[in-house]
Amino acid sequence: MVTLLFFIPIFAVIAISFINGERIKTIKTISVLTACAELIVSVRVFTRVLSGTPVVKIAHNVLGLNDYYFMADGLSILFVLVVNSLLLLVTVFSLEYIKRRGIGVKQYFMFLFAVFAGINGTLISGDLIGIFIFVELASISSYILTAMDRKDENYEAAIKYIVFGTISSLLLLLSMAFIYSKISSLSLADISGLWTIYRNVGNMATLVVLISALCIKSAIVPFHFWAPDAYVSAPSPISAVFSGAINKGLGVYLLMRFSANILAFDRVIMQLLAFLGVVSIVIGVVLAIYQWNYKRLLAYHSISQLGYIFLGFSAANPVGILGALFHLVNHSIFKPLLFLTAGSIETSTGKSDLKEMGGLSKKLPVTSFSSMIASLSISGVPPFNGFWSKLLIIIACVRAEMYVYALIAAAGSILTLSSFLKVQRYAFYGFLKDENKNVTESPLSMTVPMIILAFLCVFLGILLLPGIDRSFLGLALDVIMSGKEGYCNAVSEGMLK
Amino acid sequence: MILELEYIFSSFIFVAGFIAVVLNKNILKTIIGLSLMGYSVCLFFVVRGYTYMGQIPIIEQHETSFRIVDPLVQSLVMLLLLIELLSLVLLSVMAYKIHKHYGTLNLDEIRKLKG
Repeated sequence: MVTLLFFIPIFAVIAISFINGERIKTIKTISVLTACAELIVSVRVFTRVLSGTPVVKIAHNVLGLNDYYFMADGLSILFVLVVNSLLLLVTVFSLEYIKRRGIGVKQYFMFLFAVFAGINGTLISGDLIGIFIFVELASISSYILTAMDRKDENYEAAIKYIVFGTISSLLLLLSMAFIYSKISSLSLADISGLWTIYRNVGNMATLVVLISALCIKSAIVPFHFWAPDAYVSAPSPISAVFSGAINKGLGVYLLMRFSANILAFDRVIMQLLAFLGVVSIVIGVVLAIYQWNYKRLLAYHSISQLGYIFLGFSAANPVGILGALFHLVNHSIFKPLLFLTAGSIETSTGKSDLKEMGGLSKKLPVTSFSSMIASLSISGVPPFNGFWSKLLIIIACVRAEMYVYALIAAAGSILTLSSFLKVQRYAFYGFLKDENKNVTESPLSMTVPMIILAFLCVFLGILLLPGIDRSFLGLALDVIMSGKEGYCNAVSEGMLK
Repeated sequence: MILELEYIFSSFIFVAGFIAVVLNKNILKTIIGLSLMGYSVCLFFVVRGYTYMGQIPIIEQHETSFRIVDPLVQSLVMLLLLIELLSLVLLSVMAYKIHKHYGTLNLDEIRKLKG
């Protein structure tokens, strides 16, 4: 059951690769069906995780290993559900988008599903070898998707992304090598059980290499240089996938898994992550204010919002971790929504510069309305989902006696609001330009995903209600808080079942 | 532990590759640097898989006729080389496209041409 999560997209990739590129309808049908199947499987796995112990699948004789396992526990399934719902919405959005932008349907969907196979595989792998292979599958496919438009200026962004991505993969590999030379095993349960963190040179080198590798993947501030270029040059649905799935699945998930279940909330690491988070909040939002390209502005905000997730997580108390997980879910909703609105504007008017837009709210009512909701949500205005998670994170910072960080987080939220007021002012309100007189709203297949996401933005606050919180965010919170022993016990319990 | 030879040697190659990536503006030299980094990690893996005189660990009364190294490392390195090759090939294709369009491989000049 668990392994279907990455086998379905891989089968889809193989199936699409055999179909003639002219038969667009068949390819689109297969893509939508695959995305639906993926969501159904992840909901099915979720119900099994909800009913008791984590789902473990032992794979025999992989690379000569006998203890190779896949495991879906509360933390994995949270990410899996978020990522696969995003996949369905993005697939539906892409059907019309790629036709209007003239991107090859066959290549696009092949690499899109390859990315999602990689992310799902990473989320359920219980072994560093598997994690590395799936991370590489997702990264290499996303390198190609970055240059999918085949415009000449996109290749430079792609080169930047490939260089950073390859360095990050190699650092991950180096840390794997260090860990393997210490404990002669790469299974996460073994590492968690056997690796004790003493403060010596070898361990510190391993941790530095590992954490910088994962920070590059999640595009946090000192390692963020690839992100804005890659987001801008990729097609808009792919930018949504970047900020909603790739950064989270490959970067944040692994960081959470390592720092909670293997390093057991090591104090120095937590302080480092808190510092990186705060720096990202400030630098991301300050750089975002000066941007005039809509997608580049969103990319810098993506960096800044990831800072909130890091900050909440590194407070290392239940409130903060709950806030971080909830903000992660929320960010996977409003940021893809904003990128989809950018895509909608791009296809309708052909513009990506905020100065050239203006008055579009009359011509693109659905896009404008959903963008408004997402903007309010990302800046933390009360009834929307972003407010609740940011509130939790700030409360957690105060409880952990990080008063300055709490203040900076609140200030970052205000700056976010000001930056999105600029977007609303220049893109959707103000005077309608003459060249935009004949613009029409995007078709139904592009507006429906935006409406669904906007709906979620308004009502996702219910995830915090007592009763509901235990069943979704609570599962992941339990896994994170259980630390080292909890993880080892869960693996052995699941293997025996 | 940290002062063993394989740590020093492979981290020397790794750092050399890293410097080549960071300091050079030419994409081809970047590619060479990345491949150096990849090979250094593979080298480190292979060396760590060596057991003294090819002895089998744990079992003491072994036959002297066959010697082993860590089999996991061997299969892993094959896989890693393949993955490395993939991303380098992709990077070379992008470099080719850049050269076709701008007529140079120097990243600074490309930025100037873009304006």
